[in-house]
Amino acid sequence: MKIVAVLPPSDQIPAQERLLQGMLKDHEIRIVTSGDALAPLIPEAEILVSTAFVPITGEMIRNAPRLRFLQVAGVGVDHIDMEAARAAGITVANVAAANAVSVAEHVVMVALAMTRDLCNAHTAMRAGQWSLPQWMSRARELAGLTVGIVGMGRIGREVARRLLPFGVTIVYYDVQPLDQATEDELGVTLLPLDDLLAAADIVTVHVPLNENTYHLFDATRFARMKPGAYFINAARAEIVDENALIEALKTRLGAAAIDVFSPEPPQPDHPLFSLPNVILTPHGAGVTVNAQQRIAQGAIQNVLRYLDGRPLADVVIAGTR
Amino acid sequence: MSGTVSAAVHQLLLEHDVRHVFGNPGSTELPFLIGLGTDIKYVLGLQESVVTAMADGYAQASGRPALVNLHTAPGLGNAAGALFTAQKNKTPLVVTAGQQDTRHLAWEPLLSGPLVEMAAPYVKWATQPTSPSDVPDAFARAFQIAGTPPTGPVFISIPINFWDAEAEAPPVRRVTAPGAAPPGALDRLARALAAAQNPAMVAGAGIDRAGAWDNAVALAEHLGLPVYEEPLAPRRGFPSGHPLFRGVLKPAVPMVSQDLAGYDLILVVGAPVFTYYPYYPGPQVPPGADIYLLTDDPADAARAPVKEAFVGDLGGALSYLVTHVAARPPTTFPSRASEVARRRSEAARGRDRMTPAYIFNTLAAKLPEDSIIVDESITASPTLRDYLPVHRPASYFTAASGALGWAMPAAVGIKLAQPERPVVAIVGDGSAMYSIQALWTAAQWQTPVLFIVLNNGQYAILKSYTQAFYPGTLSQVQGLNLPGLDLCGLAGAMGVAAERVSSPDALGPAFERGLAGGGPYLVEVMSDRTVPALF
Ligand SMILES: Cc1ncc(C[n+]2csc(CCOP(=O)(O)OP(=O)(O)O)c2C)c(N)n1
Ligand SMILES: [Mg+2]
Repeated sequence: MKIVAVLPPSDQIPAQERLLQGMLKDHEIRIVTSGDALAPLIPEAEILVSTAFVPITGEMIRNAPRLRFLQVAGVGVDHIDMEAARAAGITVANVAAANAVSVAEHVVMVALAMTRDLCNAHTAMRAGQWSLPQWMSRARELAGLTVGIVGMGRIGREVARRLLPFGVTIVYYDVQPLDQATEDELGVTLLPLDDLLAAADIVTVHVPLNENTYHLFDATRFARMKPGAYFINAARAEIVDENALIEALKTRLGAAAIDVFSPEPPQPDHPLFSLPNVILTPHGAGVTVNAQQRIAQGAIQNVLRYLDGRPLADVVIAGTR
Repeated sequence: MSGTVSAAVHQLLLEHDVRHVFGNPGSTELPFLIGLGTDIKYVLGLQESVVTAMADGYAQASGRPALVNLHTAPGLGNAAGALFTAQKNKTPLVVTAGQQDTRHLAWEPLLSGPLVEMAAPYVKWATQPTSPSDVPDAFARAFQIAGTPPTGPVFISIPINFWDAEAEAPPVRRVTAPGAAPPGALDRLARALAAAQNPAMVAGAGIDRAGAWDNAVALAEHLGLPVYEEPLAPRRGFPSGHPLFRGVLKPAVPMVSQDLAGYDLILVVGAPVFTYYPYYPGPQVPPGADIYLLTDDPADAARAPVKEAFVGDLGGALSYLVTHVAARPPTTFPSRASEVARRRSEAARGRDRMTPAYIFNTLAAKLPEDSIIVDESITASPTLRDYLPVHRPASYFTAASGALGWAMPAAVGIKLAQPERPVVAIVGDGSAMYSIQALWTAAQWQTPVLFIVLNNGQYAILKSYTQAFYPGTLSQVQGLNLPGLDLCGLAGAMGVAAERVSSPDALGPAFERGLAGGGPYLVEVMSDRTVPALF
């Protein structure tokens, strides 16, 4: 079979290529690191391993008459034109839970960093300032705060598991509520979104991006949040109206931790970068070394399953080709 | 028509609608028992503290004085702790004890003793009639005195030779209790409430005792008053799930002052001001606020360091205030949803260790809304009040005195008085052992009480107290551990079905079995042994 893998550019590529060729000996493997390099290979590809930073457009899919299996080396599939894939009868799979722990730990990290105002203290000390007075007036404990988790999928549940021992109260919102036994075990209580926003000291977003969640957080929603509350987005940039977030950070919110941008990478003069109460990370919440290994393993294993004709894990679209 | 003392008393008891008498008999009680007939049921308790606490629960839950039948000085002595509790509970009890035959009393026969003197400190009125014909009249007075606010126990010592003597039943007396405080006085309070910038209410057990919940809720809503519960309330005077409910005050001067700081007027209703436990220096009431007290107890009024106290019927006074103070613009009540969420998160954290939060959160999910909770859970009690909210009157009872050994027998009495409502007694392992014989009565009467024993293997509260007030000494204090207790074994030996729960998943199903009815049931929960910081 002809297998094409789109991987993020890195100095690891030659090693990865050797590894894959070793594992898939009887097949033809091509590794590319950009959309431009992918385009000429698409018409022949039978299996495509895709990562989020190169969009798989409808046009590409229509140019891929032989493509049968699209394995995403990651969790999100919103870089793929799913309608086109479905229409073409292509099987699509991802590595569903691979980054849940990493994202959840990231949320814990930024929740602690925001409530202590860690980054400003660090920056001030680097600039030779002893910022203890500011620290003393701002630093708070997590214990006793209320955390609102918007989206209680795998990541939301991992976030809840990790934050509960800090002594917080956890409320959540999801279009698909958990069953009561799981709610009791996780110690989480379902609230309507607007009630959650009014109750939570920390709001963290873990919904997928779709037409219902596009700009879910707009000016009205931010206005419902408690003054001084903290906001975390390590999901997708488009879930948040960025202008509304910037305005809220200037007028209402205590701080925000933003991991995702549109486009990525963002312009260097992005207005978020000049605000004092934002913690920024480069869409890295889910891509720890561990998660990358887990994703690579999961993707390869699924490709091997496919080649072997065995049932696949984490099928998003069951294809017909 | 003339008959015996026994017959006259019997007739009088029926006129007072007495259906149960709680007792533990001796020779001096036999003449009374012989005359008892069958319309009044004798509820046997195997120790006098059990007998008295059963009657206490029964009286509180039925709203009428209950009759207690004890045997001489040692029986009264055994009952003394429970009598002390009934006094603090303001429970109307008519307590009798047999005295030896007057014809040789001077020679101090076996089991004779100074009964009136023994009972006097714990009762509103104590008497030993000097002639048989005074006995029925003593009962008539006893019911009146016990049942007139401030209600409480009374005591009659009855020599054995009086029962068969001749006497007539006295006519039934109708006594109307004093009404509300006079309007002129309440108008001063109404003006103060109208002028206050930031008033609050402290709801006491007296509200529940007086059946004045609706009036208290009406006044709180009329004025948007935040409502706190008096510290250590033996009954709960306000629905704890109400949006205006702000929580339970803690029984210590600095904590009450902190919680009530910032209010300029505090209206205490149906409570002493206040019941404290450990001593702390400082003013007994929150400084900076004008405190007013509505109470039906002149003694509480006299003791309270308040600006003005109004003695009288609580319901009447509260409704007078509703009609005589202009309503404040309705405030939006904050949602209570986050309270539910807080409890559930805390419960999940305590799941593995089976903390009180986990236990009560699990119980709350199984409890019918009309359940009655009888609380002697000691270190777990603050959590219990938080996790098991009361939605309707007369749903929560605990001993006002702080004495142990009350809840289990009281629960049996409560169930006898309120057979339609589920009754759950929640007690510490230490507390369970003071009147464990209550299980026997529950088994004999097949009263479907769910007994939950929190077995943490110790007197945890005494450890908590040691850590707070004598830091560093805990390891040298003896007598605070309770190894080797098998509550299920004790229950089984007295005919009560029981099970021990050692893993969190088994708890909910055990509660379900216990609540299924049919008979008494005991769940022994191997609960968290962490000593909480309560003081
Ligand atoms: C009749 C009586 N005896 C002794 C005490 C002192 N006392 C108060 S609380 C307590 C321990 C209660 O232990 P337990 O019921 O197991 O509850 P825990 O403290 O473990 O929660 C004791 C002995 C008392 N209040 N009343
Ligand atoms: Mg104990």
